[in-house]
Amino acid sequence: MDLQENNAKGIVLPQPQELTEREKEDAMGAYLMMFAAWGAGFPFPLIGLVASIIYFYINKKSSSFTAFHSYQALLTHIPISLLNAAAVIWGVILFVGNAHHHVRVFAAFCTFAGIWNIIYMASSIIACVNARKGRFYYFWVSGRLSFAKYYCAPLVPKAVVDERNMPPEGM
Amino acid sequence: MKRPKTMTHEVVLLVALTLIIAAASYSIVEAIHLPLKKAVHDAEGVPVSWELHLKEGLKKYMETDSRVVRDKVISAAVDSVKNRLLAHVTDTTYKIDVIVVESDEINAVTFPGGLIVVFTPLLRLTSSPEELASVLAHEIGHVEHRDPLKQLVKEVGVSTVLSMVRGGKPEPMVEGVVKDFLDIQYTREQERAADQYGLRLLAESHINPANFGRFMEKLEPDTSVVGTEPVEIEYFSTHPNERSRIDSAYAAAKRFDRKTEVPINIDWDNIKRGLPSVFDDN
Repeated sequence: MDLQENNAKGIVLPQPQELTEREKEDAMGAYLMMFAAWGAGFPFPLIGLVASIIYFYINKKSSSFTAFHSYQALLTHIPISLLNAAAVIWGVILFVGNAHHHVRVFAAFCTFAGIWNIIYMASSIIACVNARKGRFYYFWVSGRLSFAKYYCAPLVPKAVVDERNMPPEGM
Repeated sequence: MKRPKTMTHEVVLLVALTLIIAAASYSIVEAIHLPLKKAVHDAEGVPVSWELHLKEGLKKYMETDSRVVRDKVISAAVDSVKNRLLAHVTDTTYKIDVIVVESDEINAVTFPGGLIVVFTPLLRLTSSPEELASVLAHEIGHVEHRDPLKQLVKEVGVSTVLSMVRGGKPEPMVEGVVKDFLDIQYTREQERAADQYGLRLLAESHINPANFGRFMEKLEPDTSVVGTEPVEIEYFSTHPNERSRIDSAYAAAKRFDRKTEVPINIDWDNIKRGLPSVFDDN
C-alpha cells in the first residue's frame, strides 16, 4: 500500500522523518520487550505473556506508530507463548506422569514450536530494526489487524452514526 | 516472493506455512529416529548363527576374567533357577547362559546370543530364588527379542558386528563391547516388551510375577544398600524403573493363579552367604 493509495483511502501514514526519536524508540522497545518477556518467561511462557500485555497497555495510548508496533508485537507473541506453554505443560505431564506414549509426537511438537520460535525471533529482529528507522513492517495477519486497529478507525464514531436522523424506510 | 494482497491470502499462507513446518518437524524427528529403525532392520538381517558365534567369543573372553564366580554351589543354584524358566521357553534358537561376576554394581547385563551376566550385588539384593528368576525372565525377554544385538548394531554398525563374528583378533573389540554393554540403555518399548515377556514366563514357570514387582521396588532411589559405602544402582540407570512397570508386575500377580505356584527349593540365604565379599582379595 503506497502513499498515494493511502491518501486515496483517507489513510495518512506518518513518514520516518516525521516521527520523533521517542516514538521510534518506543516502537522498537515493543519488540525488545517481547524478546525479554519471551526469554524471561521461557520456562513459564504464560508469565512472559502477562509482561507483554502490561507493556502493550502502557504504550497503547502513545502515538499510533508506537501503538501499532506494540499491538503487532503482542499479537505475534500470543501464539508463540501459547505454543511454548503447550510444550512445557505437555513435557511436565510426560515427566511427572511417567507417561511414555506419544513421546515422538511430543518431540515433533517441540521441533515445531522451536521452528516457530526461530521464525518469531528472526522476524521480530527485522521488525525491531524497521521500527527504529521509523518504518512500518507488517507481519502476516497480525500486521493487517494492527494496521486496521490504529489506522483504519472509522472517522465518524459508531455512536454518532446511530444518532443520525434518517427518513422512513423506503422513502 | 510477491507480498500477499489480502487478509485471506495471508491467512491461507500462514496455514500453509504451519502445515509445512509441522510436516518438517515430524520428518526431522523421524530422521533422528531412523538410525534406531535401521539398526533394528539391520539386526533382523543378522543370522542367529552369527549372534551365537559372537556370544561364544564374549563368553570365552568373560571366562578368562578372574572375577567370574566359579563356586559350584552358587552356579548350580543359579542354573536351577534358569532351568525352571527355560523349561517353559519354547521355540527358542538360543541357549541361555548365566554367569555370576563379582562387581560393586547392582546390575545384570544381557549380551547378544543369550549370555546373561549377573553381578554379585544384584544377587545379594534378591530375597529369594524367585526374585532372581524374575530378573532372569526379564533378561531372557531381551534375548528373545534380540534387543542386545539391535543395540550393538546401533552402537557399532552391522559391518563391525560382522567383522567381530568373522574372527581375526576380536579381543579388543569384544572388550569394548563388554564395556559398552555395562552402560547400554534399551528403549522404553524394549523394556516394556521384555517386562511383558518376563511376567508371562514367570507365570508359566509357576512363579508369582509379584516377585518382579518386589525386586523392582528395592531399586527405587531411596533404597539403602547393605555395605559400608553407597553402591551405585546401575540396574536402575540402565533399566528405567517406572512405577508403572512395578504396577504391571502386581497386575500380572493378580491374574496369576496362586494355587499353581511352585516354590524353588533353594536355601537362598546360604547361597548369598557363599558369595564372595567385595572386601575379599581377588
